[in-house]
Amino acid sequence: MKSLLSTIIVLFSLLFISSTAFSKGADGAPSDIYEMNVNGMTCPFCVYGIEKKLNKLAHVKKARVSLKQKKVQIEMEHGQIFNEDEVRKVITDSGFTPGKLL
Amino acid sequence: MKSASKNITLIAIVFLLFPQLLWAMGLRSFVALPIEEGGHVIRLIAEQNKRPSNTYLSANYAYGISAKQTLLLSLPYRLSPSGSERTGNISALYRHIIWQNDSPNSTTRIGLLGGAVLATKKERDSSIQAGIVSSFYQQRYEFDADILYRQGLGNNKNTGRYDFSWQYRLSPAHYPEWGSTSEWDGVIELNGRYLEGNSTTHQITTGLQWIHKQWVLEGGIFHDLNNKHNTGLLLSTRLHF
Repeated sequence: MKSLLSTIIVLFSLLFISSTAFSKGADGAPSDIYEMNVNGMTCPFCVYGIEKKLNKLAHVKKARVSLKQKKVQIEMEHGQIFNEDEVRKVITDSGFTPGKLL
Repeated sequence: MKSASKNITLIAIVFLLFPQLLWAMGLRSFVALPIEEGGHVIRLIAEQNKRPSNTYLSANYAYGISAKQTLLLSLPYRLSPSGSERTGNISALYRHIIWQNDSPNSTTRIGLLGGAVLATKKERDSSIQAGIVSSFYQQRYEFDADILYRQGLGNNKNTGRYDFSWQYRLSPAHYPEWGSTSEWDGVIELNGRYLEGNSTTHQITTGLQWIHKQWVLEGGIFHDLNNKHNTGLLLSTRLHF
């Protein structure tokens, strides 16, 4: 009984750790995908730089920009940690202002 | 024969003193919008004027030193009329964004411009230049305004310019949810060009831009509102990489 209880506790702990290691995205959003608001974006030609630099970040599977929703979406390689500070720096280095992580 | 020679000399002087630095999201204005750090933009422009009749190309390059600092280079080359003076002087401008206010649906920026026009031949003189540029963007429209003054060195005359540019996104009405689609922008501008010893020529420019993520194709017509009443045609392409 004791060993069964211990096993259950370990299992639940592992499940908890694995779920918090990934997404901080919106409720219901798939894991490994993160979105952040960006202020100051204008036309496609002007925002190409953000997309280019985000896609060059290590462990980023795919990054894309939404001029309509004024945000960027970053899909990380499965199991990789999302570095919010690094993404904020990329947006700033591209000439725009990062907003809230969604 | 004498007047033809005089015209050619005048063309040469104007050509040499007005190396076109046509870096913008306006057609002929400057812009205070960013190039990302380490980013490059190349712009090739063909411009044809009716009076005096001349056609020239200019190669323009912009490099993002940082989000707020950009280096702008321009070199014109005259195609016609024929003559020995074809390659213009190199214009080098440094743009520094000194104020920026971004919101979800708009951006306002102000930048300072400073640099030089460097003579490409021994017998020519150089100039120094300084100015200011501002851009305001909201929803579907953008306003750019600039003023630039060039102090001639040696025998070079002083020159100046101003531009007010308004661009409006004609299509699409709404961007897609993700990614970018091409867009069509209409452009209308008021431009002024000053050459020491002459009155300022005020011009109106209208045009269209076909804007993609990495390239732009654009064209316009400009017309003098005073002075020679010249009409000109401009075609340009830009590449961002």
